[in-house]
Amino acid sequence: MKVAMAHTLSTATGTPSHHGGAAEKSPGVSQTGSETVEFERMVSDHRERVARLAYRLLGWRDEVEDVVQEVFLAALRNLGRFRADSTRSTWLTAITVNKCRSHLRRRLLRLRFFERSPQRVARPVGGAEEAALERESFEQVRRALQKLPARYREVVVLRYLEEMPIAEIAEVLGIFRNAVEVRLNRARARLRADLAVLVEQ
Amino acid sequence: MATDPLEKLLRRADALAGLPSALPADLPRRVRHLAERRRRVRIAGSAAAAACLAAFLLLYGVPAPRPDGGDGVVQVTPQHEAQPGEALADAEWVRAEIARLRAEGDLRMEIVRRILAIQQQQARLAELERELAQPDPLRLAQAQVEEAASILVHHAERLHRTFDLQASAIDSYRRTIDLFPQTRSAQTARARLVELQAKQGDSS
Repeated sequence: MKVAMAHTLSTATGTPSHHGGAAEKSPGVSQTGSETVEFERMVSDHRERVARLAYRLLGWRDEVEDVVQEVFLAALRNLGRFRADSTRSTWLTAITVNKCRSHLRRRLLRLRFFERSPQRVARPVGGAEEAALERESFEQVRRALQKLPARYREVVVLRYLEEMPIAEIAEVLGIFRNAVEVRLNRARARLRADLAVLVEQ
Repeated sequence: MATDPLEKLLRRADALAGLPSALPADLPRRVRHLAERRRRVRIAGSAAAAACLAAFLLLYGVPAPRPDGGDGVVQVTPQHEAQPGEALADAEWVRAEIARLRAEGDLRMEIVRRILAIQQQQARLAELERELAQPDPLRLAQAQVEEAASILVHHAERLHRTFDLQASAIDSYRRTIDLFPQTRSAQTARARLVELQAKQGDSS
């Protein structure tokens, strides 16, 4: 399911903008000066949060840069259509969730048909002795999370790692609150089954 | 602070994963370049598609072969080089081609007309079938009248044959004739009445 808030891409008309001192044609969309300033402010305000969310949704894989670019590209194209009935942060979260889904789908296809490239998975930080144990449990958690269907993984990440309220998750995913709770419960049940030993420890 | 062990575990794993690698400082500029590149690709794609379509039309959209065996493509030559005979032949061919296209158009129009007529007929037939499928209330009433008359006649015959009550039977036949005069049972009742009255006349 496509995330409800991810708007369709569109173009808007306007005057070319200037960036970094050099005259530069604006991309896909021509922007007014105020829109350019607004876009840059949005990027600087939200880049870290978007990157962190993408990092988590991709299973702590360091493939974040492409996704972040795609997120802000979609945001740039739809900046004029952004409605103030949700916060900008919620809007960007919705786009990020969507882009991560697309990215994972593409990666899955690539892996299935073309290659088995080494994955740049994050390694736990820490001392040499405890790191081995930590790495093992970290890998288990990562695998369990990756095994979940996207719709379950997303609610888990948004709820427990991003600490978003249920209502906001529902808004981001374009579903009812009840549906979020149901997904969360099912995801928890699966994670509990997969990580029973670690949870008991 | 989370108290749920599963939640704790997830948060611990997240903390162990650390942070994603730093994003480039010129991210807005990169995003703009990416958008510009995509726009160009989109335009180039549209242009390529249009070129392919044009090429296809040029290859397959040429007129039908000429009757004289030519390839059907009219060669445009400067007017001063055109031979009078060739120009005449071309004009003839164009005229013939127009006539052929007109005939083809007429034929297609005729086919369309026929198809429409068949469709209308089918729609009318379907409507009639629907009407036929529904019971006619007049017929239903007629059948009920026939049934009632037949019951009365049956009753009269029983009175006459089983119980030998001729007066009652005559009375019943008369009632049938009075109440349901247009039915088949009324005709039967009339016949029986004549028979009975003849019998009574004989016996008296």
